[in-house]
Amino acid sequence: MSAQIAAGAPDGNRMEHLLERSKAPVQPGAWGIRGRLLVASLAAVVIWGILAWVWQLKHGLAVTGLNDRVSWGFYLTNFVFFIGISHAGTLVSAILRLSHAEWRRPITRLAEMITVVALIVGASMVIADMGRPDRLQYVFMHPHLRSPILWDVLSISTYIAGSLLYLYLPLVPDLAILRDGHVGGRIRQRLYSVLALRWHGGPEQRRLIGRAIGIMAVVIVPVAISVHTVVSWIFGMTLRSGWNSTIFGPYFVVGAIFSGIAAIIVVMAIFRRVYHLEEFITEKHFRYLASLLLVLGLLYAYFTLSEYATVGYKMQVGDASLLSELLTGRYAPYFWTFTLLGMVVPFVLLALPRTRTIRWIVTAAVLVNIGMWLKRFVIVIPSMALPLLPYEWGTYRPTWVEWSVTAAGFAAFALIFVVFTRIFPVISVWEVEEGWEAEEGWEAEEGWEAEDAESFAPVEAPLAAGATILAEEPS
Amino acid sequence: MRRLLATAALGTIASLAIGGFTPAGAKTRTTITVRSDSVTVNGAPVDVSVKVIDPEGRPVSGALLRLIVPAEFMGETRDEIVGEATTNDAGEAVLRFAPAQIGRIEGTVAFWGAHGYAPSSATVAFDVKRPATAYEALPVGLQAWWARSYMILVPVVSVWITYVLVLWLTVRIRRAGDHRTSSKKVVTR
Amino acid sequence: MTDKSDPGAVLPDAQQPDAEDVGRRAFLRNAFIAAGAVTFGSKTVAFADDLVRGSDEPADDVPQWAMVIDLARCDGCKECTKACQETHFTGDQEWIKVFEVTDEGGNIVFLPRPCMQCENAPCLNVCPVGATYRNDNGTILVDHDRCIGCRFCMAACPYGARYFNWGEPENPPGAALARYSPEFPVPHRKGTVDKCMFCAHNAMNGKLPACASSCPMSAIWFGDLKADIATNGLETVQLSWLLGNRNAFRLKEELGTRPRVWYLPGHGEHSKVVLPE
Repeated sequence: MSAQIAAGAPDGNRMEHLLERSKAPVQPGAWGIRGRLLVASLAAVVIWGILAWVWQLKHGLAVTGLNDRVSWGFYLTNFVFFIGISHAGTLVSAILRLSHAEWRRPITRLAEMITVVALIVGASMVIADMGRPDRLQYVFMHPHLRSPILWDVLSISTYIAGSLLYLYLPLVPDLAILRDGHVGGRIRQRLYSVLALRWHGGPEQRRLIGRAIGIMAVVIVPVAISVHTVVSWIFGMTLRSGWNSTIFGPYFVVGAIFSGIAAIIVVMAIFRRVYHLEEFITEKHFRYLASLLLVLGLLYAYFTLSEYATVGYKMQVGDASLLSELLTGRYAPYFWTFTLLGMVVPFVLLALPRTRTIRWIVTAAVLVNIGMWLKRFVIVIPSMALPLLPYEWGTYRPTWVEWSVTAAGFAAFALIFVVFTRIFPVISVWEVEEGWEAEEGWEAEEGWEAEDAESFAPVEAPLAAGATILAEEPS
Repeated sequence: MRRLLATAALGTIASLAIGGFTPAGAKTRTTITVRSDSVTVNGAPVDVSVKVIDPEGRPVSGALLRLIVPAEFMGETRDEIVGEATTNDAGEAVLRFAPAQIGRIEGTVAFWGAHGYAPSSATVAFDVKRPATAYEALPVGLQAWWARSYMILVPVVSVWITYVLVLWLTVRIRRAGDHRTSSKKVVTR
Repeated sequence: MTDKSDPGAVLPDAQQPDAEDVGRRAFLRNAFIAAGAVTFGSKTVAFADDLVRGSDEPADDVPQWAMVIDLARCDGCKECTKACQETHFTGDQEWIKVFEVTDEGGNIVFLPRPCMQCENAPCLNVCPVGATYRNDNGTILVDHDRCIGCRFCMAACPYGARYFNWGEPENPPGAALARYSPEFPVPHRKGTVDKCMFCAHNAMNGKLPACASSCPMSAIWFGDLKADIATNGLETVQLSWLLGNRNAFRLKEELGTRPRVWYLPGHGEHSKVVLPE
């Protein structure tokens, strides 16, 4: 095999490294002691969280800190947070793919994986929040389409299906490598071989997969935007102060992409280190993403300003008390931690040339993620605790159950991710290879270059391309 | 009349508090006259002019009058208070009534007695051709067909149709011949 | 009216078959209208919204319940809350909750807050499974066999009128005997949302809600917007006349929820008058 690689690849050595690195984590016995310990401890946290949830099932939501006044808490915060993270995949993968940003190639797979895993964890947070999870099927049996929750169900399920498809399509050629490289045991071989779709890389197959990926890249963007828009409408469609806002849709979408990019940076840094991908994921990738993070962050800061400045100027009764609690009252610590750690400090770190190193960029990204979780907390809880009639302010003190389920959510995110990367390569080998080819002006085989260009035609005419798929004569 | 007295007890507490009580035996008799004892209602509230006098024909001022009609509600026939007015120095008052039901209504103008005056009443009939007040249900939300919430299914279904198209493409990838090409790329094995 | 000391007086109300029939009839009718909407799609008037249980617009020929609370009479004794809790076995949930507000004159105003039964009900719109619905009388009910416990309705309610059964509700022996219906949601179910429903079980039997019949000051009027009549158990008045004559107001009118609960301004001044016997 290596002989062929050396013969065919633009840079045999580099290609060999890429193959080796991307296959290393999926090789049997590649876990190592530390890997096993990590997986075991993550699994322990997840199991503990599930036990806490079972406890909650038995005794009802009374075991949480939720009450009639503050009836949504940590679970909803986590839900919004994870759905936000899920926007990473769309942005980096789809938007950069559509804009032909070459540097995206080594990180698209990670981004797409984040989307799928974050969606799974985010959706399960809703189930943890339900008073009657045993009646989950009623959402499908008795759908009330007027409810934003139903819009969420529709758009999130569409998004999960779409991002699975979008994760899978670029995997096909890589799965063929694993199939042909006889990686893994019989079960995994079978899995690879079925999923690889008899991939042999002929021009027709390349043309088709290019077109499929192109269509998905176009479709997934509006779907992703719709997802966070309707998530925001769970709040925006109510009459509560702090939620009753017209900008919540775009505000949440920007926030989602902001935290999503931060999540990619963190995940990228971890897997780069653990799977020794320094050669492929370089400082350049971090710096490019850092610029994007900064831009989105400033956009988010702008939205935050316009949200609070407009209600703060008018000082309607609910908004006024909400704002004073937020800026100087009991929620001020969270709000200002978000403002400082989630926005100001990261902006400085990302903007100064001296701190635009991997270490500081990752630090900024971690801070952004913490800050954005707090921001979601500050969006959900104060508006619930706000007195609607002459009440006292509501109180919310999350219990061990909520902390456990939250911890389990994050652990599950990491665990599913690790398991994923042990079965599927974390770097899109063929796309990186394609990038190298383009970079080095490698002459295409007959028809390949033209078809490659054509495969991205849907950018210009997505509908036309979609319409012609079925019209075309299958070979 | 006893019923009327009982039901009015609470409503008149304010005036009772001001006027105080006079022993029953010392009360002066009163008479209520209604200017027109039959009123036609045609889509607008009607005013009933009333005058209250004592046996000497002197006007009774400050008398709280109520217009009462019989009504069926919650399984009982009740005396429904539909208007209220206090007489002026000339002993006159105007009771406004905005009936909600069509048909003939036999009303009573009643004075409960206060300030040393004894209770009295008079009848007045209303012939309601068109009700003067009606409950109207206001619409809820947007009414246009394109604003109906099932319209959300349109984009959702179109996205899913695209997914099916893409899945069809993967089927075509699988079918795309078994011929090995001369590609030199690694992944084209 | 309802005899609070005898739970048996309450329970048979819940067992009336009408309760279920009414709900089912409304549902069937709306299913029919929804189907009709597909067929006669161009006629917007014929549109009942998709899959909505209960009706958007109230029925023509049945009472439209409304409540008027006379703040001039309310002295904040909370008998209404107690009666409600005893009638519906709500435990410590206060379906009608009495708030204390200080007005501009320094007087304490007692403000009882039941469910507002909004005509443009935010809670009804957001329910993902249609567990919350409006019956023909314009009362907002919760079907506890349907509720999935997402608590979106609680977040949407601008009046904080909804309560959640966080743990296993304490259903006393009397409550366990009741046959559940949305009109008399007893026994209560864990993980579902509860709220005031204008004592729909009483109303359909010609009885006043527990809060109205228990109020020692007769400060709570219960009425029918359609027939334009209201009673507090002692007096009966024309509803529109009462509202107009006493400068009635609704809570948070500016939100456009169109509550069916009105308040007559005052600060308990009439409650201080001792009635002659």
